[in-house]
Amino acid sequence: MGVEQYKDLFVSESEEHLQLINQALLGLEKDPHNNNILNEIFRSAHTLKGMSATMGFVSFTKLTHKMEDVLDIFRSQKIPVSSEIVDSLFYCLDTLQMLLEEIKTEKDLNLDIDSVVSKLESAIPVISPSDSAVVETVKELSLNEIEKANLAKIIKEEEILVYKIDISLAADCQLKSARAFMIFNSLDAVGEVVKTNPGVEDLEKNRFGLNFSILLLSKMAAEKIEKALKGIIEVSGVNVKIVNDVNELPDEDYAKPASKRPVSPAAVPGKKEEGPADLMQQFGLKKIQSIRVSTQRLDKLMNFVGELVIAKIRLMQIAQTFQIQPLHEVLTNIDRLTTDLQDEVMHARLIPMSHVFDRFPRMVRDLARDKHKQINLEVSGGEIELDRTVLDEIADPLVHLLRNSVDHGIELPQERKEKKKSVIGTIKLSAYRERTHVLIEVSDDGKGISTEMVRKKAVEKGFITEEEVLKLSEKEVLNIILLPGFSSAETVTDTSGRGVGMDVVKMKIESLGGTLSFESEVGKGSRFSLKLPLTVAIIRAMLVNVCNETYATPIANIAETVKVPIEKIHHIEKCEVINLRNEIFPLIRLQKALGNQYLSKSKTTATKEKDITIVVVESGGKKAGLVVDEVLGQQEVVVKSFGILLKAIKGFAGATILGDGHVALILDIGTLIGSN
Amino acid sequence: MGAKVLVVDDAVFMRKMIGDILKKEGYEVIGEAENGKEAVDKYTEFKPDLVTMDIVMPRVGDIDGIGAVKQIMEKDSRAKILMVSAMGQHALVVEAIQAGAKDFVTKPFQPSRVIEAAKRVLES
Repeated sequence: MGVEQYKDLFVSESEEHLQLINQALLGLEKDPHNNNILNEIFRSAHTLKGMSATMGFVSFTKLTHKMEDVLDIFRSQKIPVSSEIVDSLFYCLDTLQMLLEEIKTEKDLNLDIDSVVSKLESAIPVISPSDSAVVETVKELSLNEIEKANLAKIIKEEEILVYKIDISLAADCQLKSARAFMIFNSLDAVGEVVKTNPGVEDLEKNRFGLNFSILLLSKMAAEKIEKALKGIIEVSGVNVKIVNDVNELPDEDYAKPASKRPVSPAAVPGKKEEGPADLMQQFGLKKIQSIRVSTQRLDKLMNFVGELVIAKIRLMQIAQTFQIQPLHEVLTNIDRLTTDLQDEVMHARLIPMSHVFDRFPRMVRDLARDKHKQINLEVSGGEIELDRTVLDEIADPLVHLLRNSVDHGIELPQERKEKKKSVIGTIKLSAYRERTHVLIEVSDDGKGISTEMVRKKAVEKGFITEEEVLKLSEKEVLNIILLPGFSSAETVTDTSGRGVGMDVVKMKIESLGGTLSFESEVGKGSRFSLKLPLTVAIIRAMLVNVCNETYATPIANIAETVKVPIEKIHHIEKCEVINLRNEIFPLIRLQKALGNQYLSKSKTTATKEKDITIVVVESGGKKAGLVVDEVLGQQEVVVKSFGILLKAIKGFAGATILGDGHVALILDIGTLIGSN
Repeated sequence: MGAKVLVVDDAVFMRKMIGDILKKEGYEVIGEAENGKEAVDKYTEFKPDLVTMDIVMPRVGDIDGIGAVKQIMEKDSRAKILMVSAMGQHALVVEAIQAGAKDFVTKPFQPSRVIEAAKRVLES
């Protein structure tokens, strides 16, 4: 059978299970007595074993089988798991992940499975003997004297026949005991089993080879019995013989109570666990029930929808211009359909945050161990969904923020004790949905960021002079850490390293149209908040006219639009500023900011109008007033990113095609405010 | 048209594989279920000729694989259920058969075994 075609499915489903085991192991570490979690891990290992065996992945099967064995010992004997066991299970999990990688890439990573297996074995306190050891019996089916006498009596008194049946199971039969049970079950319909060889108990416990014999009392003909038995799968040979004289059968040396038939194994422990039905839910996991669509295809689909939206807008403009009533009616319909379609496609691209969040508990655990810190990571909001492209991009910044918290935020247990804090530090990672945005927060109850230290460092590094630093507010001082090249850690550690600084995190978030803000209190901890748009492909924008050019300003960046008398503009050190309701912020004139001398003169400056129109924009907690000639209105725009050639141009986030077919540039408010 | 089959397994992988094996043989897979509860619901909905049932499945709505066998048998005493089990599940298999399942196959399986078992169960 060609199993190759199932490989993708195998890989993706195995990944889910490995993730599940990972979560469950973390849970088990916190609650080593929880048999439900143990069962959950067992079940996943079991499923993995079944799948990999079917695929013929030997190492994978071997390892999952061993895992299952080990887990079974713990769950059936109700022994609380030790941290060594959890460690070796984690180790096992890592190896499985690598094996899966091997399967995925078809590259041999030369993994040493045996050492993982022996590590697992060495962690088990007592290895219980395996039940499946095969003991091939050479003994014949025999009866003791009492049995013989009883049988002879029955045969004489009732019209009943004694059959000796030899049964061979197929060589690939795996659950021999259960198969034997099936055979007994069907023999029940034709007669009564009086004796078996090997004994019933051995058959039940799988302690036999492929052959066994049965002594059956029946009124049926031999052929009928043979037919019934041959109808059972995995039975390769049946030989039914009538026993005319019970004394033909060999004598049994010792008396052994003959039980009539295998007893049902209802007494097997650990099979009927009561408990919460869904542990996956307990761990905040979401089972993926999906078909696989390549992300490229989704991107393409999104692109088509984008084009469709543009075409729709053009059509609407035509209908507007020519006032064609029937067209209007159809368009209302098309408008609704495209909006729905766009919504659906956008949602199809959304992936629950847990895809990224789920790797963090393990990461924080490992980091904390390295640093000899005790940290509890609380994750919430894993179910919040975010565009795939956005999600891909925020994983690294989040890793950075979490590492920072572990490394610089949470103190050593001793230090925490002295500060009368709980010895175990808490890092919270949470996500919320806020209309068209998603908020992600990373907060810790660690030592916080010392502004004193930041001041000192900033001066030392020449970011700022000693006089200037005194003029800065606390918040402004904190913002210094977001500057490129600034690292507040006194020593560089391998956890946070120096590779990526906070500036990279900030840039990444802003390039996604999001914002990064944070607050910190010495001794109490820090909180970093990321505000991210749900999607980056289609945004709502305000179209404005500046110097006869149309620009799109992302609505997400707009605080308000105001008309102010020209006298309200003040000058501070050659900078145009405006005082709006006691808030002072700079004005941005596009022709100046973009340095484009080719732009025709702004209407406002040309005609010396009394009022100027200002779009108040904000990014990264800073506000600015964008001076525009005219506000054209809101519209959904499909963001087309610039090619490599134009990527270096600052101030624009991309371009979009307007309803009339014209191209409008999308302003990148973040860089505009920054460069002003 | 071949017999109608409901394939129950919590792993998509297994459902696909079992489904493919059966389809190749002319069976019609009329439905899939990923837990016992769904299996019972779908059984009522589709009235399949045959059910392949994974034995180890997460408990949903307090029904696991065995529970599903019991509930289906209660609804339709002539239901034909083929258990799909992995190695080492002796006790569960026996329990399932006592509950009314007609036969079982063990993972990893040969497609021919599945077909053979399916045929036998349908004939029973």
